Formats: sequence, structure tokens, C-alpha cells
Amino acid sequence: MPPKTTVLVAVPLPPSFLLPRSCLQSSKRAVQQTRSFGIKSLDSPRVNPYNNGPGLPGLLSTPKAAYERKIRSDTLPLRTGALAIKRGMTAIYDTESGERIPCTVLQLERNQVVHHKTMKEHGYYAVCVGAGTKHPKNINKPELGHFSVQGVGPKRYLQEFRVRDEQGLLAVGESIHATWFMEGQYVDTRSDCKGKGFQGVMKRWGFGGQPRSHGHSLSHRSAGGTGNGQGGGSRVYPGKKMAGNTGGQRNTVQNLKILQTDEEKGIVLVNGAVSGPKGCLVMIQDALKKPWPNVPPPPKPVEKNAELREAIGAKIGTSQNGL
Amino acid sequence: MAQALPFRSATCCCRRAVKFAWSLPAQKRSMLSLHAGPVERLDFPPQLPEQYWSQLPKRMRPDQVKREIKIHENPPSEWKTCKEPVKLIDQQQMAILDPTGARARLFDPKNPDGAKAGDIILATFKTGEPFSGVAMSIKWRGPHTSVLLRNQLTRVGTEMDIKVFSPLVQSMEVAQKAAKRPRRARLYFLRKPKHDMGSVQKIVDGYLRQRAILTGGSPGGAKRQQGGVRGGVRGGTRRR
Repeated sequence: MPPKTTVLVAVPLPPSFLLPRSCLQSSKRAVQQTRSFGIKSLDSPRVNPYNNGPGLPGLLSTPKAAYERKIRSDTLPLRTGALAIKRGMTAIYDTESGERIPCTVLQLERNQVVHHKTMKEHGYYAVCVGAGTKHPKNINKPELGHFSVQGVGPKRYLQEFRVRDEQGLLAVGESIHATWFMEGQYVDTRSDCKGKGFQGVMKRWGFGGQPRSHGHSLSHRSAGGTGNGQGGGSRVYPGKKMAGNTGGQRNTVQNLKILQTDEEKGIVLVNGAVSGPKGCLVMIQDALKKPWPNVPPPPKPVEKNAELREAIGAKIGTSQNGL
Repeated sequence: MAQALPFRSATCCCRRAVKFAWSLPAQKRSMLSLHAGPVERLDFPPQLPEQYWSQLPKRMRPDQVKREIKIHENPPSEWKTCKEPVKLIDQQQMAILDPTGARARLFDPKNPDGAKAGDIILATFKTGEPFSGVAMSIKWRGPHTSVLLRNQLTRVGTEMDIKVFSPLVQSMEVAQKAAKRPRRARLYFLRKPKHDMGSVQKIVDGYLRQRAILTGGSPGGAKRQQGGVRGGVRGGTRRR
């Protein structure tokens, strides 16, 4: 009996969804895998949910609108401030009128511009000023790298001063001296006031307390009632003034006159009191509620940056100098 | 029979395919990706065009080189040039207000001939109105030194706190030293009627006469006080 010869008939394959995955992917597997770049979303573009567009008035609750309002109200200083240490209070005499003027002695300490905050990168303009000095071993590596790239030494204090536009961005590495402030100009000072610890309502909020006598016992300095009964919901409303931790928070004192400055010694003499204990950090900036002072323009940033680039041999002012 | 053959072979092929699919291990058919050993790390293409660099983390970009941390020098310290700025301001004030240092010597607590509590002091002001009285207390505070004088003007007890170095004060003189060193620094008990010295005008007048004889001038160096003192020094006038 001769062997049966099987007859092969070409049959079209069934539709792909019936085929096993192994058959389907066999063709792809043959191709060498390469890394591809770019992400394409599977979702269709989203419809703009806001009522804005060409021909419509701009939205009010946006960062851009807020910035424009800020510019219009002219409440952003034109130039940066400086960091000082409060050294104490004294008084000076006006020799003409004989008036005795109480004043606070502030001392600037190694002020330098460390960094800029720009509208493009951060959404606002600010100058980051560093003061004092710190041993490199006490700073973590990212921060040390930041100082290294900016070309300034390690700083003990770092604070930002907002400015209106890029005209106010003093060059990175530029020192700020006491003569940055003109004698006779007005400044605002920001500092943390003295901490008072846990205090009762009389000291903290100025409550009257209760009488010393007339039947009062054991409650002469207490708060008294904290709210109404059933008519008011039988509860204490949020924000009720009560005893608690007092002081130690940031306080701004506005419109202080500069009486004297000394560039070499870093002394800034300010009329009146500044919040905080002796030795506290004080931020001084041009007063918001007075006309901006007429000061000479700061040195050109271009020259300074060129010097720095030569000095450190690194990129300064480029966008890639992140931490 | 011959007609059914192509149909049978077609169904056979399909059945075989289905059978093959079912015979595969379960994990290969699953939609879940089970752990199948370590993932092979692929290298970047050797020449990645620059347009794709922005998609890489910064540290992986071809142009990134590891920069060493350099510690830069801080500018010179202002604090080291002046460690006590408040003291410096006070010294500057003293140099302006009392250039000769005479008044500072008079109100130096270490000076045995200086003014002490209990002395009768005569102060004259730039406005021309003198005031004299017993020094009830002297507060030594550098340029803010003040003296509290007590007198009786028209039988009314009057006190005046005078800033010694104020530019409004023309002169300060000790008219009479205390007979006995007081055993207190603050003689507030002089306010009590038992201890009140009353008016010191006679003593001051005697001092002025003696001074005029010695210097050869007229005793009108300091005008005689008439009634209360007006104007005076900023720093407080207190009357009783």
C-alpha cells in the first residue's frame, strides 16, 4: 500500500482576533527593539473649561492678572533690600532742634546676592540675598552646590526680596553695603518679634479680665464666656480669641527713617523700634507707603557676571544652573 | 467526498490553531505582565539628536559634566570692624554733644568731685531759664545720663528730669555738695514732708554771689527763677 500523500491546500487565515497572540506578535519580535522618545497622549485634546479666548476680557483669578494688579498698585519695590542683625537701641540728638530721637542700630553682615527668581522660571521677580557665613561642613551638599554654582560663599541666612521687574535684579555675587540705603529715606523692616510663650488672654488679646473683688474668686484674669448658648449653636466659633502661644511671629514695621549709615562698619541707624530681640535677623527694604527713593543706579550686571565667569569658570546666569 | 476535503482541511487548520493557543502556558496568555526576570538596560543611541535632550533628566544629558563643588570666599565681615555698634554710636554722640568732656567728668561716677545724689545742682538752658534743685537721682547711661532735680517754686514742690548731655542744656554746675554722703542712690524720700528740703533758692543765690566775686563778673549769670519753668528739656518735666 503506497503511503498516503497529503494534499496541502492554501487556506486564508481566519480573522486576526481569532488568532493567538503568539502568531500576531511573531512578525514584530523579529525587529530589533529600539528606544523611542516622545509621549503621545491617547486622549483627545481637552476642551477649554474657562470663559476666555480671543475677544473676551481676561480672567481675573489667574497669576497673570494678580501680577498685573500688583504692578498697577505699585506695591513692589524697585530694588532689593538687605539683611541686617539687630544690635540694640539707643538715641541720638538733633543738635539744631535739641530733639532726642530714639533709634535702632542694625548691622549688615556680608550681604551678597545669591540667586534670582525670574518671571519665566518661578513666576515672579525676586532677589535672593545671603548674609553671614557658615562653615561648609554644616551645609548639606545640594545647598553647597548651589552656592558653588552661583559663585558666592556659604551663607548663614538666605532671604528673598521681591522686586517689580528685571531692572531690580542686582547681579549675582554683588555685595550690598549699608550705603545701599540713603540717609533720610524710609524703609520697612521685617523680623520675628520676641516670643512670649504661652500667655493668657489679657496679655495676648488685651482682654479686660474680671474684677478683683465683688464676689469673684479664682478667676481674675480669665477670658470669661466663649460664646452664646443654644441660640448661637452651643459651640465655640473658630477663631475665638483664647490663651495660647504669643509672639515669635514675623512682624513688619513700616516707614522707619534712615538716620545714619556707615559702609565700612555696616551700620544702619533706623529711627524708632524694630521688632525682635538683639541679634535677630532683620530684613530691610524700601518703604512701600512712601515714594521710592531716588538712588543712584546699581553697577551693570553684565560686567559683574563676566568677572564672575572668569573667576569661577562656570556657567552663570544660564538656565541650567539648578541645584 | 472529494468536495468535502478543502472544507475539512480548513477547519482542521483552524482547530489546530485554537488547540495550539490553549496548549500555551497560562502566563503567556495573561493580560498581566508577570515578573519575568531582570529588565535589560538599554543604552542610549550613540548620537542622540539635540532636540531630544530636553526629555532626559538633566543628569543624563550628554552635555552634562560632573561639576566639582567649589567653596568661594565670603566678602570681609563688617562685624569684625565694629563689634559693638551701639557703643560706637554713643561715643560719636558724646563727641558731638560734649566735645571738651567737662560735663562727662562732672557726671562721672568715679569722680569724687563729681555730681552725686543729694547735691544741689544749677542747670541753665539755651532758652535762658535756669532750674536748680536737689539731685534726687542720677541715672548714668552714657549720652543719655539724666538727673532728677527737686525744688520748691512758689511753695509748690517741682521736679525736673534733665538729660545732662542734651544740646538744650547750656551748663550744669554743682552749687553745693551734700553735707553727708547719702546712703541711698535714689533719694525719693525727699518727697515726704518730713524730709523735704524746701526751696534751695537761697543756697543757689549764695553760690552765684560767691562765683561772681571769684570771677569778677555780675551775679546775674543765671537769672533768678520766677515761677515755674516753661519749655525745658524734652525728656519730661514733672511738677508737684
